[in-house]
Amino acid sequence: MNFPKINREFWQRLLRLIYPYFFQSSEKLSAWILIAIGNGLLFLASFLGPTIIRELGDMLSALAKGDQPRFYHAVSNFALRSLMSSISVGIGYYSLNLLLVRWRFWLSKEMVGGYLGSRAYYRISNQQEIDNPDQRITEGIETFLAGVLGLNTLIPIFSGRSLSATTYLWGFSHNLTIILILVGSLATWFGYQVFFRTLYKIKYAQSQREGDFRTGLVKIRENSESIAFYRGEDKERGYLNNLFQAVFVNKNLLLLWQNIYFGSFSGANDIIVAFLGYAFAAPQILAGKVEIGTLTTVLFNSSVLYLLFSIFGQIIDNLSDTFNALVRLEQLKKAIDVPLELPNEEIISIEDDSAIKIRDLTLKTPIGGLTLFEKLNFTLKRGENLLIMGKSGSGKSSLIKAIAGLWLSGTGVISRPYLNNIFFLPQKPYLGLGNLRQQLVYSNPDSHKITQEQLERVLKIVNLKDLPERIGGFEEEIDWAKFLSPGEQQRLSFARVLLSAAQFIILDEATSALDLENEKLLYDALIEQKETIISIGHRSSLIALHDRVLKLPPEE
Amino acid sequence: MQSEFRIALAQTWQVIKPYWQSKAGLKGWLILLVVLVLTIFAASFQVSLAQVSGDILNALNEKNTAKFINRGLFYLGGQIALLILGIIASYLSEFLKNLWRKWMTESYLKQYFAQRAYYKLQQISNSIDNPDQRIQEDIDSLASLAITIIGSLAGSITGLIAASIALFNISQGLLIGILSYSLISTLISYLLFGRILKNLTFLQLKKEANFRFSLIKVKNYAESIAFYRGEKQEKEQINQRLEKVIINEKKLTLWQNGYQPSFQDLTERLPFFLTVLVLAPRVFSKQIKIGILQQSRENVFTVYQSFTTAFNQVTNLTALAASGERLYSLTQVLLPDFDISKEAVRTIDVSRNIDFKINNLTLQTPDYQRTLIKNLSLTLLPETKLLILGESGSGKSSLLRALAELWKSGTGSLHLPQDSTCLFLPQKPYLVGSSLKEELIYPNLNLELSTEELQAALSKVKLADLPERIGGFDQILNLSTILSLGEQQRVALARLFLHSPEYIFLDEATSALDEETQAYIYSQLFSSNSTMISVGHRSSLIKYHNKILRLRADQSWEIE
Repeated sequence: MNFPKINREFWQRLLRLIYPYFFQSSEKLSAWILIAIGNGLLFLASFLGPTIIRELGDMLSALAKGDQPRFYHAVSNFALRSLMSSISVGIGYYSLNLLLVRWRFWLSKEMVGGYLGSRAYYRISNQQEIDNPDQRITEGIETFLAGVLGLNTLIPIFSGRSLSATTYLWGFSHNLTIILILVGSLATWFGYQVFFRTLYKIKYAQSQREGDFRTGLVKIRENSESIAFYRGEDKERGYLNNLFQAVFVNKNLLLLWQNIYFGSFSGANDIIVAFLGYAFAAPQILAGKVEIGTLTTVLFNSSVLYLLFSIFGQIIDNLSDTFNALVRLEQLKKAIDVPLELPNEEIISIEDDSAIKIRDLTLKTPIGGLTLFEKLNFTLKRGENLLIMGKSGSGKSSLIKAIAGLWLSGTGVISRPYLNNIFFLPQKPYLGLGNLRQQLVYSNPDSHKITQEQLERVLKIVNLKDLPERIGGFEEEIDWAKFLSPGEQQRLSFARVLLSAAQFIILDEATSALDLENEKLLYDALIEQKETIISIGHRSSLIALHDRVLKLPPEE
Repeated sequence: MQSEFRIALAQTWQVIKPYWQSKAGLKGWLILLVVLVLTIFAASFQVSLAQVSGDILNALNEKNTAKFINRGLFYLGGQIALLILGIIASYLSEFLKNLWRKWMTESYLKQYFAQRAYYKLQQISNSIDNPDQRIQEDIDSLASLAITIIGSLAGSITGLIAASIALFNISQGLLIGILSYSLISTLISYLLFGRILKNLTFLQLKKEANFRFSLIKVKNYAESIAFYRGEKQEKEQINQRLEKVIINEKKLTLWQNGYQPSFQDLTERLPFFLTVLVLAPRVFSKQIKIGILQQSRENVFTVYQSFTTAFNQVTNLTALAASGERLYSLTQVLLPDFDISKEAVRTIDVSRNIDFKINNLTLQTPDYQRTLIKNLSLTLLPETKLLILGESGSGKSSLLRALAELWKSGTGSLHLPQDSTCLFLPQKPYLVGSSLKEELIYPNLNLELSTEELQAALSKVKLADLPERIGGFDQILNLSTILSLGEQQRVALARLFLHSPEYIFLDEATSALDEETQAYIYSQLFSSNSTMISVGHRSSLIKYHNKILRLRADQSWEIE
C-alpha cells in the first residue's frame, strides 16, 4: 500500500497549506480575531468547568454539615458560572466555525484557481496518481479544515481544564498529581506506539477502498451503454463485488482495532484514574481530614488532568481523517504547483508568428517518452487549409496537442499565432454546464458582444435551428451530453467555432459523427468565414474540402 | 406525523425487510439479540450502580471504612463489568452494521446488473440521480442508522424506566419535575433547532453536490476544456457554485455551532441544579441521607440523558427515512418488470431462435417522442455482411440498440439469434481498466486463452507491439488514458477475433482508424463465417459488405 509518510517535508507542506491564509491573505486580520475570540472563550469555559465542580463539592460538604448559608452561596456560584460557561461555549464555537467557513471559501477558491490555472487540471488528468481531484477540493478541504480547527479547539479546552485541575489537585495532594502525570504519560506513549499508527493506516486504507468502490460504480454509470452492448454485466458485477469485499474486510479490521483494542485501552484508563481518585481521597475523608465534597472534586479533577495526557487517544479519530485529507490535498497542491517533469528535459520551443510553421519537430508522449514521429517540417500560409491524415497512433492528435501547448515533450520549433486567434475543436465534443447561450459562447472571449440574432443565425447554419424550441429556449439548462446525439453535439460545437473571432481553426475529427452532407455544409461555412483550417480526419471525402494534405508519419 | 414521512417510513421498511427475512439474516437476528440483551442489561445495571455510588458517599460521611471498602470494591467490579459489556455490545453492533451492508450491497449489485437495469436507469433522465452514491453511501447509512436507533432506544428506554423507578422511591415530585423538564427542553430544542437545521442541512447537501459536480465535469473533460481554453468559464461556474455553498454554510454554522451548543450546555446542567434544590431542604432537615442525593443526581441525569437520546432518534429516523426513500426508489427502477415507458403496451416483440429476421419494425425513442424508423422488414441469411448507412439522426445506432434489446419502444417483431452467439462493439470503445489480458477476454468470463492466441488477435488489429509497450499482458493499468482512441478501438476489435461470435454488430467501431488499418481489419471480417452488421459513414466500407440498408431522416428505408 502506498502509505504516505509523515516526515519533515510533510510538516512543511502542512504549514504551507495553513500559512498563506493567516499571513498573506486579505482576510488575515479577521482570521486572527476569530481565532483569538474563539480560543479565548473556549479557554474561559474550560477553566470554569473544574471550578463549577468545586462548587458542587462545596454544596455536598455544606449539606453534610448542615451549613445552609454556605450551601446557597455555592448554589448561586454554581448557577452563575454555568451560565457564563454556556455563553462562552456558544460564542467560542461559533467564532471558530465561522473561521472555518471563511477559510474554506478562501482555500477552495485558491485551489480551484490553481487547478484551472496553467492547465493543471489537464496535466493532472494525465497522471495516474492524483485520483478524484474533485473529491479532494470539496470533501478534502472541508475535512482537512474541520480537522485542523478540531485540533485547535483541543488546545484551549485542555489547557484551560488542566490549568484549573492541576492547581486544585496540587493543593490537595502532590503525590496524586505526580502519579497521574506519570500514568498519563505512560498511557500516552503506549497509545501512540500501539494504536496511533495502526489506526491511521487502517483508516487511510478504508477511505481509499471506499473511494475505489465508488469510482467503480461511477464507471458503470458513465459507460452503461457500452457495457450493455457487450453484455459485460457478470464481469462488471464481479469487479464491483471484489472492490466491495476489500471495503468490508478492512472495515472489520478497523472495528477490531477501534472498538475492541482501543476501546478496552481507553476504558481501562478511565477506571484506573477513578480508582486512583478514590484511593487518595477516601482515606483522608474517613480520617476526617478533609470534607466529603472533596471526593467529587478530586475525582473530576483527576479525570480532567488525565485527559490531558491521553490527548493522543483523544485525537486519533480526528487526526487520521485530517491526515488523510491533508495528504490528499498536499498531493493535489504539489501536482498543481510543480509542472510535469519532462523526460531528458527535451522541450519543444514555441514561437509567435502570423502563420503556422513546424520545423524539425520530433514529438514524444509525455508519459513513457515514446517517439511518435521525427523531423516533421511544414509551413501553412494564411488562407491555406490543411488535412492531416495518418494511421491511428501516428501522432495526428498529438501534433495538435503540441500546437495547443498541451504536449511539450520532444524537440524542434513550432511557430504559431497567439492562442487567442486559434480555435481548437477537440475530438470529444464537450458540452459543459449551463444554458444553450452559454454553450454557444463557451470559451469565447467576446461572449458579451454576441447578439441573439448571431446565435440564431449560427444555429441555422449548423442545422440546429429548431434546437431552442425543442429544449425550451436559450436560457434552459439541461444535461446536454444526454439530450443531444453525438452528431448534434458535434454540430453544436461547430457553432462555437463559427461564433468565435479566431481565424485559425484546428479540428480533430470534429465531424466524425456526421453524415457526408452535413459535413460538407459545415466545412463550406467554415471555409467562407475563416482564414486557415487544419483538420484531422480519416474520411476520403475530406480531401476535397482542403487545399493540402499532410500524411503522418512524415516520409523522408 | 406528516403523511409524506409515513410513506417514507413504509418505504424504508420495505428496504430493511429483505435481509432480516433472508437466510443470511438469521445470523443478523442472533447478533442483534445479543446486542439488545447486553445493552438492556448494561443500562439497568448502570442505574443500580448509582445506588452503590450513593452508598459510598454515605459510608464516607459516616466514616465507616469497612462499608466503604466493601461498596467501593463492588463499584469497581461493576464498572469493569460495564466496560466489558459495553465493548462487546458496541463491537457486535458495528459488526452487524457491516455484515448487513455487505448483504445489501451484494444484493443491490445483483439487481443493478440483472436485466440491464443500470442501462435503463441512464435512459430515463430525471428519475434517479447518482445510483452509485445510493449503493455506496445510502446502504451504509441505512444499516448504520437502523442498528443505532434500535440499540439507542433499547438502552435509553431501559435506563429511563430503571432510573424513574429508583427516583419514584426517593421523590415523586422530583421524578415528575425531571420528566417534564426533559420533555419541555427536548421539545424546545426540536422546535427551535431541529427544523431549521434540517432545512439548512438539506440545502447544504444539495449545494455541495452541485459544487462537486462542476468539478467532476472538469476532470472528465480535461482535454476538451484544455483545447477550448475554457478555464475562465469553468472557474466562474465553479466559483458561483462554491459561493452558494458558503452562503448557506454560514447560516448553518450560526445555528449549529453558535445557538445550539449554548442551549445544550445550559440545559444539561439545569437538571442537576433542580435536583439539588429540591432535595437540599430534606437533607438539612435530616429526612434523607446525603448518599440519596448523590444517587438521585445520577438517576436524574440518566433520566434526562435517556430522554434526549430517545428523542434524538427522531432525527436519526428522519435520516434513516431519507436513505430508505432513496434506496426504495432505486429498487423500484431495478425491478425486472420496470419499464421506461408508461404505455408499456407498445413494445417490440423479440423472440430468440436461430434465424435473423426483422418484421415490420417501427422504432421509437424510449420516451416515444420520436419515430426513427417505420415498418422495416429484413431477413438476414447466415454470413450476410450488412452495412447500415444513413444521415446522422436517422436511427442507425438506435437500430442496433433495438437489436441488442436495449430499446424496446415501438412495434413489430424481431427474430434474433441466441444472445450468446452475438457480440456488439459499441461506438465508445469501452476499456475496463484492468490488465491487457482482462481487456481482451472481456466480456466473456470463462474464456481460457493462451498468450499466443492473445498475441495473434492483437496482430490481426495491428497491435502486435502493444504488450511490449505496456509491460506485458498482466500489467494492470488504465489503458484508456494511455492509448489513443484508435488504439482503444483496435483493442475492442481484437475482442472480436478472440470471441469469434457467429453474429457481429459494429457501431462505428472503426471511426477513429485510418483507412488502411480499417481495410485490413474489415477484409478479415468480410472473409470470416460470421454474420456482420455494421454501422458507418465512410463510403470505403461498402466493399466489405454484400448488403446495404439505407436509413433516411424521413423514417423511410431502402435495401440495396
